[in-house]
Amino acid sequence: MFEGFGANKRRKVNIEEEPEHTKPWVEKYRPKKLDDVSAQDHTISVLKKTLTSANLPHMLFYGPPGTGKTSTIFALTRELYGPELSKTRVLELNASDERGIAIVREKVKNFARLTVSKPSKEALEKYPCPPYKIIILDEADSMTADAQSALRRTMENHSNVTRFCLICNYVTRIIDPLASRCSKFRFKSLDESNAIGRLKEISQLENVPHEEGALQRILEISNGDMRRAITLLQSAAKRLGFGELDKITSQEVEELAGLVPTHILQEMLNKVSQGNVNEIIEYVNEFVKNGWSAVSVVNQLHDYYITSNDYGTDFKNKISLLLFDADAKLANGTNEHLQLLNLLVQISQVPT
Amino acid sequence: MDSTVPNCTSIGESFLFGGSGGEKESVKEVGKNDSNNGDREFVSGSGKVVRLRKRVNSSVENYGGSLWREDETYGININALLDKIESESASNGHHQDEKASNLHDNELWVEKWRPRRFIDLVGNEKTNRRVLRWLRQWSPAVFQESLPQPLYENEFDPLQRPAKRILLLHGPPGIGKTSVAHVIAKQAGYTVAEINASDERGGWQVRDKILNTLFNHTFNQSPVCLVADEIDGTLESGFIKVLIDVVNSDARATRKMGVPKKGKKNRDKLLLRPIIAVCNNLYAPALEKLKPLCEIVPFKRPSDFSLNERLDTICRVEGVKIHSKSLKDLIDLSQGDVRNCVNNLQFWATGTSSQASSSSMDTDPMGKDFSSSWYGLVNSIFQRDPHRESRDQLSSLSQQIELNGNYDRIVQGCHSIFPRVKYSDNGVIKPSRIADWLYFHDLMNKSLYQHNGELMRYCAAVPLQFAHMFGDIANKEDIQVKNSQYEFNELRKFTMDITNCIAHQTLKRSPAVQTFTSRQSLIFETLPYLDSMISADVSKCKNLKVKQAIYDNLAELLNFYQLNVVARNHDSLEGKKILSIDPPLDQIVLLDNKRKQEVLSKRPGSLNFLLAKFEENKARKRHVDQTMEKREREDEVRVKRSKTAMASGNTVDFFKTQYGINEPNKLDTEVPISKHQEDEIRTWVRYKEGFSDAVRKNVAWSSLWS
Amino acid sequence: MSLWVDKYRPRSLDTLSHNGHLTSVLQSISQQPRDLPHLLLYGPNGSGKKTRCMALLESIFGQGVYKMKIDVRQFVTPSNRKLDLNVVSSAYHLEITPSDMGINDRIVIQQLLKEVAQMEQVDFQESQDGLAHRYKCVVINEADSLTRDAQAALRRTMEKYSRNVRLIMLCDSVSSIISPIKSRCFMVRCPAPPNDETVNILNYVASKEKVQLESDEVLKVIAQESEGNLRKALLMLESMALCNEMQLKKSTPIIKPDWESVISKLATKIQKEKSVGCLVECRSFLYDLLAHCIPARTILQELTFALLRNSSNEKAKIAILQTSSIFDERLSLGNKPIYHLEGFVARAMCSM
Repeated sequence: MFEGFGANKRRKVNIEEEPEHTKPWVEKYRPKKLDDVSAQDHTISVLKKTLTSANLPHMLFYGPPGTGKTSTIFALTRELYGPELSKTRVLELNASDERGIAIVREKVKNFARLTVSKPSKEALEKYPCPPYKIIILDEADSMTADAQSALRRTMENHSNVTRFCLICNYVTRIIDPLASRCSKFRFKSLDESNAIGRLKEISQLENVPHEEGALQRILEISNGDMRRAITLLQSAAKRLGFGELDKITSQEVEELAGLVPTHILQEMLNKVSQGNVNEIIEYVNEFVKNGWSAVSVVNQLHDYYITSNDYGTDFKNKISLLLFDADAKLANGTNEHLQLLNLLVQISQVPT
Repeated sequence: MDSTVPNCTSIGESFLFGGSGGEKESVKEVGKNDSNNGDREFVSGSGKVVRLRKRVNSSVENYGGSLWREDETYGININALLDKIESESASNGHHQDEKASNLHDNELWVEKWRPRRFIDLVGNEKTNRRVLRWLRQWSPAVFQESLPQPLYENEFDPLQRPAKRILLLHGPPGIGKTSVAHVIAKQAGYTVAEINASDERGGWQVRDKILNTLFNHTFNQSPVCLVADEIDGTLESGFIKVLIDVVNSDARATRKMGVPKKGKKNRDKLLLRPIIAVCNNLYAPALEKLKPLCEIVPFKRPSDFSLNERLDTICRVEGVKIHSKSLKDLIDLSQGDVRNCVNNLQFWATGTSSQASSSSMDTDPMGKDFSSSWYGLVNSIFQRDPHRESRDQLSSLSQQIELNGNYDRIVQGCHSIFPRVKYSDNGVIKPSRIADWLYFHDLMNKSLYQHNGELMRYCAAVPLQFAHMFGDIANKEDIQVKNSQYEFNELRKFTMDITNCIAHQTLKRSPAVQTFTSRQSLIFETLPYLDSMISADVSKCKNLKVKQAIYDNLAELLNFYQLNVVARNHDSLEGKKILSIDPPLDQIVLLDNKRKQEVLSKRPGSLNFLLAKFEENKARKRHVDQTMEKREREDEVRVKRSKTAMASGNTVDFFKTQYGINEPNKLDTEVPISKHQEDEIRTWVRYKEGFSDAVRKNVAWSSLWS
Repeated sequence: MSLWVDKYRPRSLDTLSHNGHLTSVLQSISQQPRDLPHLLLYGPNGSGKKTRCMALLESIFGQGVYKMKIDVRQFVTPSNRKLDLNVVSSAYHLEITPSDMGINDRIVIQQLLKEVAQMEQVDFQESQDGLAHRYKCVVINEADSLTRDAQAALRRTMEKYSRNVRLIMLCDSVSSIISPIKSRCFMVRCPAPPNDETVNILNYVASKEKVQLESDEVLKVIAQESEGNLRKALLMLESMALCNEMQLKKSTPIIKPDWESVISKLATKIQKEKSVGCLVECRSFLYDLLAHCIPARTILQELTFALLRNSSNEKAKIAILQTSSIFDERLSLGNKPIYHLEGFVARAMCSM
């Protein structure tokens, strides 16, 4: 009945292990066991309990990107079923799959309805193999509300043989009836001590020399997003093999992350503080030509103004209002050049 | 009947196939002569003086039932027609009137007044005749009758069919393209088989259907003319492919006609029935392949005058009294869409006639029906009644608006006329404030697609805001609301299609180059500059070498972007053809009026040279192709000869027919546009004829350019 | 041959002209073709993103990437509608342009990428240029016009199928790319060439094409006018040369596209007169521009800068900028560009 199952077919491709060195580091250093998942102690301890008790509620993982939500559920399924059984027991659907209401009604429902197969003996020895299947809906916040509401009854009707795990960034995007059926796990963004340890470990394993503070800078840029941090590290490492550099520097990292270098930012701030509209227009014109992204400028300006001690509270208030406004407009896909120019001119007009 | 023939023939020839410039005058003159009813002479477009004597009476009795082909001309006997109308108008009109009142309730006027005869057609007279002429060219093939004289001297088809086997009519909706096709086909004596979008047009079904209609003989008395309606849809590619196949197989079959048959079964079929295709948008991607196989006839909107006349007739016959002003409004409203016009007229008329029965005929021309339309509503928004309390007025307005429900249309109307109403304002403060409300409307209206239109109900606030800001006692007259949005959309679509057409063709030609240019930069950067390059004026250039280099460059560019230089009618130049680029590049990139003028005044000159250059390249290429082909054919013949040992006399004949087919083909491509042009082309003809090194040396190209 | 801009386009990494640093980055990437990261190239229009992308592919796969053909692929939407899409492809890569597919881009991305991903590249020859054939590159033009849905669909796909598929995305601005994608990509900023580099390139082309130059002055003017857009500069050069008998003097007038001159005319009109009559005239101008497929946002930007150039009053400039940023947002949120553009014109008249 399920021979034509897309998920199964795809998994076959993945089974064949890739040569380690061509794998992106994010995949390579993805936590394999629940213990490997760092900085989510509470969640992990709860989940580990389920390993022993063989009972699992429906789950809803939410939190900012790169905090290990997907890694956790995969580690969990691996520990529950082992590699062999996972093939038949786990269905993963993410935003790259078609997840319209029709799919939820057919594919998901059909999979949920299936009774579980009997695990083989050796699998039973090694793994708990609880008598239910797991359906992972990754990036569930990009599912339409219709599709979500089609899930409601499915989740209840087949709860004897199937557990659902929804993963999303924004819990508000999950409709309430669904959220109330799940036990929620919040994934907090990684704190520095955890993350830097992991980064150091990776850089040692991969043999990447780095400047003092470079890893720190990577963490700052990635803002608690572990995936971003690791990708950045890998990108930076890639640059090393070639050319003048012998170790990763903060500057290199900034360039790779698309941040505006500090000296250019300073130049811009000078122009702004002088308050000459014509000069700002000229400057922004050149600036935009260099392809810098306005969003990161807004972020960096925010960091600068808010953390700086040279400005009064009133000034900071006004500035942040302007910054938020500009950021909101940029998020709506507006013209970067105009918005950046407007922002800088407006800032220059705020009396200090 | 027969007695009229000679006269008609000469007239027909003169005004149909004479020079394009003279056409109009001669038509007029015919009319004038007619009314005087005596011997006249007039000058036809080709400069010939024709003496005309009219013999009216003999044809009158025959007229009603006769088909066009029976008078054995390919033109229209205007004299007879006009006379006919004169003599019969009274009785006939009366007759129709009776019929009209009988059918009044159960027939749409659009159907009822669909043109049945050639003279019923509104506007576009010249194009109508072009269609008729094309259709007449099929007569020898279909009806086995001979035309008085060949229509084209260079007609090479053994069956004397027109060179392009499909006629493609295009133009905006509702101006009667389908009607024209039907009417003319009927007049020419065909039964019309229509295939339109409502029929299943995918895959084999349509293929069978088309092949059946085209190639099977019917037992009806008259042969079939296929009318393919609405072929520019995106889903029609299968249908179009069938059409292309039909034409191609015909081309192959025609070529084989010269070759003696050998009893083998021939799969290619000759196309012996005319095909007329109808579309709105000539540049639709689906039509790309079909276009080169078609004779393309553009349709324009009928002039307001002729439309007015037609509506007037309808009103008279239907017994509807209507103000000439409101008639004009109707016409403006429909923007040349005849169908829409007649439709509106009918419903408006039924409204008034029912009113008329209860009360006396209303003097107010616009009646009640219009005030509840968005058109009237928009106007009432701006008209403040001094005798009513403004609050009252607003609430009744709001009711009306909500009743109407077509918020988008109303706001659009308000937006389009608010600058023209009277209101008090300091500078442009009010227009700048209304922009916020328009934004609000935009967002609310957009919710239709996002939240199932739950927010649509707030849309009513925006027209009220208009009333609040711009409503004034001084506004009493109704202002016409122009539907500029629609026009704009059409124009935009047109531009988009041309760009896509160019982009697609170049992409197909050389993906490795074109992939670097996105559609946006094509519009922004590449095409405008390409246009200015093509329009480069090099006539003053002294240095021949440089000039040559530039021309080479341009010719290559044209070739790369698959642009052609063609002679085309231009709107502002009545009847005169000028050279321009096809697809019409200038219409995408030129915005400035001054530059647009240049297209008419300056460009044709420089394009002329370019065309010559282009033709030269083409000719060279064709020559190579032809010699290749010839060689192939000779090989073929040699093989055949060795096989069958054909008689020598036969071979001579065979070669004759071959050349008979080939020779005119060359001539066919040269388009005599201006005298200069002909000079240019003659040079390459000579170049061709004397295909030997000696002659080639004599023709120095550079000397031609000075 | 074709336009000069195509004729003199560099085709390999070594011949790339401006911005040496960036070229060295690309070279270092091409040195390790086995782990080519997903790339995101961003920078202003005409700065050579696509050229660099193709040059990079060339250095990895060899000349074969320029042997492209067009396939018509058919996609089926969930509502069973069939979509035909032209896909340009070579043996090593394929290209898609989201704007060709409208709102169905998500479906196309899902199906196309999966199709490519499931097809193992069977070219295992260990010859020098065959070593990287295990994956196929998918180039996404104008990635910033991908809908959010489509971008979300890319997220997991990028990780999951990274073995067989590498993405190269090109976009003008990164602000409309969602951050999960950014964090998975190696970001490459392509700045526009500075004016002196543009002049050098123009000089080279001019000498190759035997254009007689009186002095470099005219090239400087072209470079200035093209605003860092190399494509525009080259087109300008070619059309000026052809129109002036291959001789460029200092005084040779610059050829501008019609739409630009119309917009600057519009700007003067706005500044001269402040009345409803003028507004109506402007409306017809705006309709005309829009009907010629000039996007509303471009009109707004050009108009704003024309107004800024013309006005001398600093206060007016600030007001114009502010208005422009507001209406810019409206344009990207709304559906009816004419309302907003006209609103901007009216507002600008008020603030004069």
